[in-house]
Amino acid sequence: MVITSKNIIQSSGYFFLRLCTGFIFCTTATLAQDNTAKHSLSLLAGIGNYESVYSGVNVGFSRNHYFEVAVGIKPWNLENELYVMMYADVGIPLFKKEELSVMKIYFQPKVITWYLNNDYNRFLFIAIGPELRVTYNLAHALQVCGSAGLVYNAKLYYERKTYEEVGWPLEYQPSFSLQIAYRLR
Amino acid sequence: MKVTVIIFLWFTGALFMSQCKKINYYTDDPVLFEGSKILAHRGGGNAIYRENTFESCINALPGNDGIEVDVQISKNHTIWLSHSSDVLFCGGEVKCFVAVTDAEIESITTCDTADISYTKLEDVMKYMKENNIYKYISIDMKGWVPCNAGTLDIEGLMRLETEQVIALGEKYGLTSYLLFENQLASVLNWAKSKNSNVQTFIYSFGNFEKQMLVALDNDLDGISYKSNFGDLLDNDKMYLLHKKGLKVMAWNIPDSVSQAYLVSIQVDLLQLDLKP
Repeated sequence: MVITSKNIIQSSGYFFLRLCTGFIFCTTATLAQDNTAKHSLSLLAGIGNYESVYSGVNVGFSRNHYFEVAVGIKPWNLENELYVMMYADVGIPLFKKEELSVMKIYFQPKVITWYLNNDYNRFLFIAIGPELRVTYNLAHALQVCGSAGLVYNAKLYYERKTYEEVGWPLEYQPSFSLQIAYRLR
Repeated sequence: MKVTVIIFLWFTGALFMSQCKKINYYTDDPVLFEGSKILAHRGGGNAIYRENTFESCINALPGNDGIEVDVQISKNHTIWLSHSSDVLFCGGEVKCFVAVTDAEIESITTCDTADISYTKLEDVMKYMKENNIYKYISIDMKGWVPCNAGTLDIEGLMRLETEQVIALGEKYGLTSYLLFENQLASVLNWAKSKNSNVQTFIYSFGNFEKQMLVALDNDLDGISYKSNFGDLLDNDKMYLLHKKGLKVMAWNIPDSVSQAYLVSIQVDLLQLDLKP
């Protein structure tokens, strides 16, 4: 097979997904081996408007703060498009008194990189924005979280495939998601 | 129970929102192509007639579909034809148009017997009205470097410039023939808000995608496109622009081969440098 820039671009979505998945596995493996730190480690899965259907890990540190990474994909293919994304965020508790409460509220700066490939264009964008997250402990190791916020989209890469349509991502858009996290330790 | 309901509602909302489109696609609004119109660039200036002068415009109007002129605004808010934002006095003195009065500009006539005078846009429009010449006038409004504290508000002065041009257009019944070119969508929107009959074109220096989006976002009439530069115009691009309701005014056309090509791909307006 002749390697051309077109081939590379066409496979970039799958490569991006594999890269993100690898990153998460590496992070999980590293943290799982670290028994000295007071980290919590949770596996998570959820659904969101930017995240689509996603899965990742949440690492708690310094009691109430956390760092989270996940990858997502749009599994339904109603419009002949491929959508994948990866995000990373950190959680900062808003109210210290909630430390022992079953429900907590966090301020959550988030960075999302998303890739969309449809009949007309290819987009690789980075979305940055603040979110608020509400967490609720359903059981000792099970937590449900809802997040909402606003993201700003900036172009990383764009390619036009046909001259049939004109479209562009909205600069600002709301983001919200719901996820369930299972605490491993 | 309450928590379950909240979770359910949130989940439903997230599921619904996950279907939200990331991309805003613009609706079709096809524009009718009426043949390529030829405008005399810089008021039809050539080896015989100085550019942007009354004489060059009068010479160019009969043989073309219109003229393209560069305009500046004086301290008295009069619109003058000039590509440069500087007024050149005999003796080498240079002043900003916006800082010079009409009387000072009118005092400039000749220098070493050569004609260096300036022309008012109104004189050209008046001539057109008196001679029943109803053809396009493309108004190229260029920005400038502020020359003093009073000229810092360039956008504000450009808006004033559009108002003055439109007032002249209304006075001489030429608003339907006015085409505004500018790099600021806000100025073009201002022109449209003053008179919806005028047409507005955003500059593009070879950046097809970006300026097409700016034009669509601002509901402009088209793009003033520097051809033979950056993203080259072709059939596909023209098809898409027309489909989405945008016209193209092309400039920087070096020769007849380029002109023929632009006509063949249905470019709406061509600014050509006239030969003597």
